[in-house]
Amino acid sequence: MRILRRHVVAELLQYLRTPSFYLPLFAYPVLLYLLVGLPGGGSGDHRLAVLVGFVLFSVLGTVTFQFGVGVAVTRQSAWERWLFSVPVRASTRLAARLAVACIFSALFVVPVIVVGTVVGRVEVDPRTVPGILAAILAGAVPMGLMGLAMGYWFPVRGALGLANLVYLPLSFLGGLFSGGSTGGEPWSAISVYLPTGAWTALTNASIGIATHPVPLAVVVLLGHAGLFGTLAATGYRRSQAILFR
Amino acid sequence: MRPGGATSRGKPLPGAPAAEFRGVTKLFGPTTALADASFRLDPGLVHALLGPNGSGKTTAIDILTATRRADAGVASVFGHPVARGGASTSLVSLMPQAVDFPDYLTSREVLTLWLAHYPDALKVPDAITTFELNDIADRQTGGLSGGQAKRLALACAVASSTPLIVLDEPSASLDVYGQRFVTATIQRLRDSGTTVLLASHDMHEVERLADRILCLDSGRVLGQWSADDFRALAGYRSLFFRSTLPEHRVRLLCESAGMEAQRDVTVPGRWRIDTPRSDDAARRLLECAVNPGLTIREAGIGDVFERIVAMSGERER
Repeated sequence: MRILRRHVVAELLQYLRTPSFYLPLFAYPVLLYLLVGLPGGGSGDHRLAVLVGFVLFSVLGTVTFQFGVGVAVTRQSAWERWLFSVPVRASTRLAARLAVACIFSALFVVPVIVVGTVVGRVEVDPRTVPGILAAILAGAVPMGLMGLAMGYWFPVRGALGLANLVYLPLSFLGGLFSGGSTGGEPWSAISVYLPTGAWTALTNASIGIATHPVPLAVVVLLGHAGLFGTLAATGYRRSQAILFR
Repeated sequence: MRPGGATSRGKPLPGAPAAEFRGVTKLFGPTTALADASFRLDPGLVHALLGPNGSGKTTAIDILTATRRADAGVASVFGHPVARGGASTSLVSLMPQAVDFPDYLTSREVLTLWLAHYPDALKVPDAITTFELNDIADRQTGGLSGGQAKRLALACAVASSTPLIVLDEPSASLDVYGQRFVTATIQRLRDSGTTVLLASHDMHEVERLADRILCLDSGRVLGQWSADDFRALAGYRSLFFRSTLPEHRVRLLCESAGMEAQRDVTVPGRWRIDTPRSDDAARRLLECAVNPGLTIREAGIGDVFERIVAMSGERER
């Protein structure tokens, strides 16, 4: 555990000393929530769905930028190459990266939740919390794999551009800003096939709002996890073949 | 995965060489970086790895330290086949030619992370003291000078306390003090019985430190010698003398004695004769010159190295 812990601490320190990484991810979701999410009002369940949507938006940003851009940056560094020579498995380093993503995801959703519960007076039934958390985690997996795929397939500038390109449109089209509502047909029917749409459908179901059938959302998320997982794995092998050739 | 993610801790196998290459070949597209390279490094010695730029030195080091994969052949460290994250990696540590650290970590944090991988490594405060890093211990590495970064890289490699330490041009672009520090560190390693593979273009450094010489050119191993045997390959000694005579007179006198004299570019007014019959030449010089300030020097490693590489080039043509 000592080596894993050292890698986690080193990664955390590096990101925490990079304001350009954490400030936008910390502030952007809560600002958008204040400007777009909170004024919408609606029933208690709807307001909770909107709050959870912004939590998903925050998690999506963290995994997209930390994995997508972070992996692309480190992949090209001489330090990373030097680390190939130390007695540690690649899986340990990946585990450290995952742990750091989980820590930042948990940190960055705090302001959204605080604003939602304090300012927006959103209430949540404690019995639904485990289900909501499970739904968030289930959708975070394909999103994390998408970030990894971007990081392994694109150079730094490409990954940064792509992350910006997919971050907002995927959030908007998946209904993350509106509690799952995507403005009627045909978007409503289509959005569930997006990873973010299926993710929203799953979290909404955990709250008690049926926007799309849960089995369909699960299948879509599994499909995206498989697709992005394959892309991430082939990208990893490709980058290793280039670096470690 | 083993606890903590560490690989199995490798132990040197009894009787195994510190490192061995058997028929290692590495291609980069149409370029052959290493061609069927075979050599072994005996434990406890400083092995100098010499070769012109592009001769395959860094590729050999990369393969030995698991940062590159060989296309063919076998590389091993203390009997363990080289594999990324494998047992061999706990027996060898590397100071690479191109040094780079995460900009936002301090030197202390880099050492803390790096040394955690090696069970016998120095404690971080001890490493900081030993490598005189106190001034920069708590500075982020992004602000270090080139020399300071090299010092930190040397600390990472050496404080790992592995039985084989690979240093790829450790003194390049260092000031005199930095170069002396590197030399003293390698001398300490040699005294402690650690095997060192030193790739260097600094022939003074090699002259002072190397027990064995391994020569590469165009990806081929030209040979491996003890430092004394290597010097003897020159087949000549250099005579240095002073003369107040005009240049043409000195040349004429030497030619009449069957010797070719050339000006010593390092010391004004001094001449140099390279000859296989140094005793005879010295006697003649003392006969015909007054107070020539005669000194006789064995050929240097750099001289022999140049000759060997040139001969290898001629054979290839």
